[in-house]
Amino acid sequence: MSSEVAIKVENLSKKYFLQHAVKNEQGNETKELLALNNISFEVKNRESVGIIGPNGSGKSTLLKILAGVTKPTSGRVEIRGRVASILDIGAGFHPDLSGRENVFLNGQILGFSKKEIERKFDEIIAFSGIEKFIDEPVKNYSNGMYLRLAFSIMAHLDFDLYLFDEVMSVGDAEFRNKVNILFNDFKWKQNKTFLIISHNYRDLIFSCEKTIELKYGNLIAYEKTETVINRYEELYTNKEDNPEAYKKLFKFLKLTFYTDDKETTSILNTNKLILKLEGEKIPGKLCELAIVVKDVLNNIIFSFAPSQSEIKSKMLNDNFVMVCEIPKHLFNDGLFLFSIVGFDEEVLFIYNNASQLKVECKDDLLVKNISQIKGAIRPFFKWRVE
Amino acid sequence: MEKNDSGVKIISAKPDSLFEYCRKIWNYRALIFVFAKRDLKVKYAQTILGLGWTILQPLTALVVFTFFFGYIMNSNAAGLPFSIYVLSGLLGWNFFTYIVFQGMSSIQESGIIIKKIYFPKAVLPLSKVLVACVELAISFLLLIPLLLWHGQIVSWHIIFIPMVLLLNSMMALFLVFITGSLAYRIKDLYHLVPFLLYFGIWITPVFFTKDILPSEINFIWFLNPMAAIVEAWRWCLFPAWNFNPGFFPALFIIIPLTITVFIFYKKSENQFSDFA
Repeated sequence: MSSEVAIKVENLSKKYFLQHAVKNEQGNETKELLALNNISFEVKNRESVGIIGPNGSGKSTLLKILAGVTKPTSGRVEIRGRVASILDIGAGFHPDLSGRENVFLNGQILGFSKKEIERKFDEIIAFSGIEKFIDEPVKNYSNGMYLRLAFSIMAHLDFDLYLFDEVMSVGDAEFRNKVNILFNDFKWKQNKTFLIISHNYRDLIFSCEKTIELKYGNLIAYEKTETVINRYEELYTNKEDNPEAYKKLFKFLKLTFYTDDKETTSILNTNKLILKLEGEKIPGKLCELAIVVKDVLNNIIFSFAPSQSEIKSKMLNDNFVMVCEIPKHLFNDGLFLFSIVGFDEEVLFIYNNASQLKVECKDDLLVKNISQIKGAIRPFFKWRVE
Repeated sequence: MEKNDSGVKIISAKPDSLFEYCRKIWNYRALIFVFAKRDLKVKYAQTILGLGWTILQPLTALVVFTFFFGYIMNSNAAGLPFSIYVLSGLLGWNFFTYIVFQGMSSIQESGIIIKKIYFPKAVLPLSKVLVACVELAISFLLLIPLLLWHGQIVSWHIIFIPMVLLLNSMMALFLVFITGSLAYRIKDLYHLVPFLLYFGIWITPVFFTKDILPSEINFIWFLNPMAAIVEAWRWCLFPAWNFNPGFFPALFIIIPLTITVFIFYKKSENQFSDFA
């Protein structure tokens, strides 16, 4: 195993035994649950890897095995360095002991000596921001205080590898900000490796270069985070928004894309894009119309609408075809969801996910690692040397 | 975390060998003290009397025993004042039951930690042995004034106490390990073992002397290793006490048995986090 590799997972499987039989995919009764099915992957030093997947896909089981909390049924894992498993924050806390006592208790349970903890004690307390209450039993702490203290302990003791199970999204904005700054420091200056389970995809895109997708214990993908999340969300969005039902409901509206006079749903960022909105004679009196572009995380990227000089609102009350030219170099890699928002004098209607556009970027930016270009849009500005 | 020389930790389905497991416990030895300290702290956190409670409880028992057996019944036992007889018997018995009860429930009460943080689970009952030692030391403090009061001289055999203590702990750990390795699945044991222990004190010479049984069935005492241990405590303390030869069979049975169930426990502890 080269020194570059922090975690090496080979053919890892984990079987749980249930108390009651369930039907498996073949319809047979079974008391076994395959939480992980023959998984292999490698994480390099200083890499941050996200883990996504629906509930019950084996994400937490995987982290538990890496943390040594539970044994695999077969396969093996090699881990280089000291592992901080933040599967649950403050698991080693005792409610009757004071904050101060719990710092030592928790630190020692995590395998640090009293001396090591003493050295970091002031930093831990300062970061947590609860100096005033440090001698109070932690059972009297608010959830936030509890979490701040527990998190500070994990963050200040010297681990090489951090395993997080959905704990990043807790705490107030100020504390989260502190945590983010600390992690960036970890990541770029201190050669720490991260493995993060999260349902907050935006966080993953920012903090992880690569992401593992699990489903029913199988490793579906291990690729660039944006790629994995886009595909994952594509599935998810389709299922949730049920576009077929929408299409029936809004059959009087149709949104299509063209490039080079051909209808398409996926383009390169160097293509010029034509958007075509067709409407039949609409029940009611449609008078205003706009298009909202969202990313796969359902964030609104931008909206646009025709101007009054271009389209007269009464035109909308007959069959119409509107065409709009979208410049090249606008979108970044990923999938974009186009929704139509209309107003018919009385009610606002939203045709969610009327159409989807997949964009792939091919250009000659100076940045070699394309994942460095974050964000939903990717404008092309002119540079020059002075 | 355990590491080999190159700093690489290997996780696989294979259970640890006995040697590896013992090395892990050694690496985590600080945790034994940490848990013991935590237990003692928690026990007396936010109490007004604090450690006073530890003394008060056996003190009350002592007063009751002395008053009831010694004064009302005015009995002597095997040449010792009854209060001394009972208290010396309780030393070993309480030590034993404390470890068994606490050790057995230690896995359950630490369920949250077990599911989130790795450490060798034998650390938990071992920490209870330490706590039991503290309780034992306090009981000793009570015995001393009583010995002085009755002018009882302490035997030089007292130097053998570590031996007796070791066997006493082993006996308790034997039960802890065997129940621990089964009870996470068969929860009945949590009810059965206390039941057996309440019964056990009546087949152990704590309150009464061995000669209450007719001599033909006296051998029954030999079948109960705790009888030999309780007697050994008294042998350590009192010069006039005859050594109970039942101690040696107890020694040679308990040690290999405890090691065997320890291996069993080691094997099953990997399941704890899945069942806890």
